[in-house]
Amino acid sequence: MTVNLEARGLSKSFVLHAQGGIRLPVLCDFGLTVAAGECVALRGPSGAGKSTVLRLLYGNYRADSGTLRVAHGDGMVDLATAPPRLILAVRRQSIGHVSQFLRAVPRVPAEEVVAEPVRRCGVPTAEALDRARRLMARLNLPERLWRLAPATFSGGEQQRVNLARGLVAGHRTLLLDEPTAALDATNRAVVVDLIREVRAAGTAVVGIFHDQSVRHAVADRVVALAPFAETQGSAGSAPALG
Amino acid sequence: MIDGLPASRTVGHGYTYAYLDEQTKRMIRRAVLKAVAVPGYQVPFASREMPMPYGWGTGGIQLTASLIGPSDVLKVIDQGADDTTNAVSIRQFFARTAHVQTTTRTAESTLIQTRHRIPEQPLRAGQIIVYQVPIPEPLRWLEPRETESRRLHALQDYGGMYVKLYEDIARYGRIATAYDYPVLVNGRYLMSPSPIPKFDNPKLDRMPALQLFGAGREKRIYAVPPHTRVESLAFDDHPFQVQKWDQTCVLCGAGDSYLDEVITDDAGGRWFVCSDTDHCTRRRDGGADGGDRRP
Amino acid sequence: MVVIDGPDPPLLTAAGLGKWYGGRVGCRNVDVVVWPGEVVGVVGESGSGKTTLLRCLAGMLAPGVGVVHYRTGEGTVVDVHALPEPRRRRLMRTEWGVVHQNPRDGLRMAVSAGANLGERLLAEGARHYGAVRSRALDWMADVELDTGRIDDRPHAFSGGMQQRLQIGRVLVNRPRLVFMDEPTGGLDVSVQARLLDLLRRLVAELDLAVVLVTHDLGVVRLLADRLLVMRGGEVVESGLTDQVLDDPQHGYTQMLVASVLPV
Repeated sequence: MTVNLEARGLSKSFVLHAQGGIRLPVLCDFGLTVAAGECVALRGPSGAGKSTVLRLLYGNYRADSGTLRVAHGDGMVDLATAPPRLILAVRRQSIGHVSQFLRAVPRVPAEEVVAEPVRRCGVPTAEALDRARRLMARLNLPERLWRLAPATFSGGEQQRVNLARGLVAGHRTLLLDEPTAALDATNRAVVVDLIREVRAAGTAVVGIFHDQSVRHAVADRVVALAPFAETQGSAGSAPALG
Repeated sequence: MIDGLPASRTVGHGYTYAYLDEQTKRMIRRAVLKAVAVPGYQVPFASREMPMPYGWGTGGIQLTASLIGPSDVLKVIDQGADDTTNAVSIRQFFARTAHVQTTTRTAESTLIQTRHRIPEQPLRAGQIIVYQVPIPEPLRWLEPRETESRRLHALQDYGGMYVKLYEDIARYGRIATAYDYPVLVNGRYLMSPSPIPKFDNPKLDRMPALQLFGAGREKRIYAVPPHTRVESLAFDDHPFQVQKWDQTCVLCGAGDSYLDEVITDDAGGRWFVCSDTDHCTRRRDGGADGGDRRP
Repeated sequence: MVVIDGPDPPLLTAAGLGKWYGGRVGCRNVDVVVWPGEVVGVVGESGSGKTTLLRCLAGMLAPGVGVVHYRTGEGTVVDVHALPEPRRRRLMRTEWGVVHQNPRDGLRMAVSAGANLGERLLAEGARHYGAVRSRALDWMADVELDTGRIDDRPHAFSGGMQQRLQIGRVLVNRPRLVFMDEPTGGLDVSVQARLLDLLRRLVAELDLAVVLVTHDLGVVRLLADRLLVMRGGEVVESGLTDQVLDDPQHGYTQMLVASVLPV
């Protein structure tokens, strides 16, 4: 079994300086191992820290302690201690994160937003655009939208652009934060197919899937997260920062 | 000590020989020596008030006054002509204050003070030509701060000068700068040749005579020693070119000299005549004429 | 201090930089490392020392203490502030570039757009008008200016166009390191967005390293790989841009992030 992602003893708390330095613990001693070709679903009530876990796994939040090893190149990189430049390289080549909301440069056409991760890996523009367009077609994004900036798209359209952008580079490890939340049944089915395809191709997937049918269709395992308050007897959840 | 100087060091009316006091002349000569030693470099000097307005050649006159001696033969030209008010006045000024012989003949002169032209007849070794300069700093248009333009000279940072030539070509299809055309002296200093037409630029190069430049208001002296390399700036695909005329001089028929256009009536009639009056006169004395175009 | 050698050496390192204006602190105890091809954002409020730091890094202002090292295109490492002035100037117009907040500070307003774009080439010794002009035309297109306006003076351009012209003027001879001081400041938001998009594209295409000073967190979110957060002349926090903005550790950074107006 090839391990693509291995987290051990991850802990995270937020310190709010503006509120007298109170400390909000949100995750304690979290461990997770995901093999190539495996899909793990995170489950838990709202506020249990599911998105926080995904952000920690992506290196977006800094873990207070623990290790987070991700397959990169010929070996594993510990994102909890890696220098910023190495984290950027790992994100470019090895690990992708599809957040709930699209964050893109205003004015840039959707197809370029999608193609960008591929171009950043050094693929020529024409080829990157070609891959982007095929994926957008697969996700039923009408061709008339490809040259438009996604800022004015509907929620479902933006989510599909975001998904295409996350899937297009073929990362070995993928983190998906509610990828089907704003989609109709048809497009949900397309996304399920896509996730199964990347899994079959050896990608390790960690996702949050609200929709139970989607979860059943793609996940090998489910990891349950309880609200921190329940397990630790302390109040609080992940604060919305930024 | 200058040969033939009266013992009193004064000439009539109580003036010092050649108007300037001896200490001032020494100061100017020291500036000249430095200028000759560093070709094209602008040497600051303590320019004096002269009995004429700035812009009439105060820099040139101070240079001439510090160099002239009783054995010199002085020629003064203004726009090529020996007979304009300015040229006549300066010539008389030195005839009275320095007891020198004056001439209009280029070949006979030892010292020539000029504004806007170099004589057509090639100068020879031993002669000195003094240019009157209004703005000595060729980088002034590019960089108004004197501290900064001096630094650009020190670092030989002359790329900006080509921006001006670029702008000319972009605007007019050719390098339109027709006078005061910038030159590089001895491969080192960028220099303004004073407002001579670029027609005269080739004469600056490797000239056997000593060339001195004086800017009275700006208080700068610079020099091109004899036989020094002087290149006019240009682009590879827009090489330096001098003006050409379809006409010849109506007085002497010269086709290779710098011509002035003279309007002769209200009906568009005009002549072209040599700007260098001495050159024209000598050619006519030798029998040349402009044919029957002269009314 | 980071040593500039090994298999993957940084482009620029600064160690222990400090600058005082009389008794007032410009910046102090600042260490900076810039690797080839990365965008380092410097954020903080007005007076936090961002611009002082930028000017010290770019060799425009001598620091009171500390050194700035740069690895040149030829691979030699130079102490920026100990370089003789001719070499430092040459470096600034060949391998470096500076983009000012006000395009008038970076442009020659009295000559045409084409002459502005061509100046660095001419300063490097280009002496073929046709070649300089065609490079200038290419860059007019690259910075999304109408090539038909190459002979217009910058006065005739809008603020956004002037800023794009300034960027083209700096990038024309492909520098390796560009210092930008609030490049999108003073522009309308729509013009700003277009400029950001352009900068992002050029940075990627030319593999530029950029030190980007701004007070606009939205700008660094889109452009910067890494961030330095400055306050009172000191760097209070640094790291990956998204880490610093999404999980700020320092109280000041938290306040800064929380102060962004939602749209």
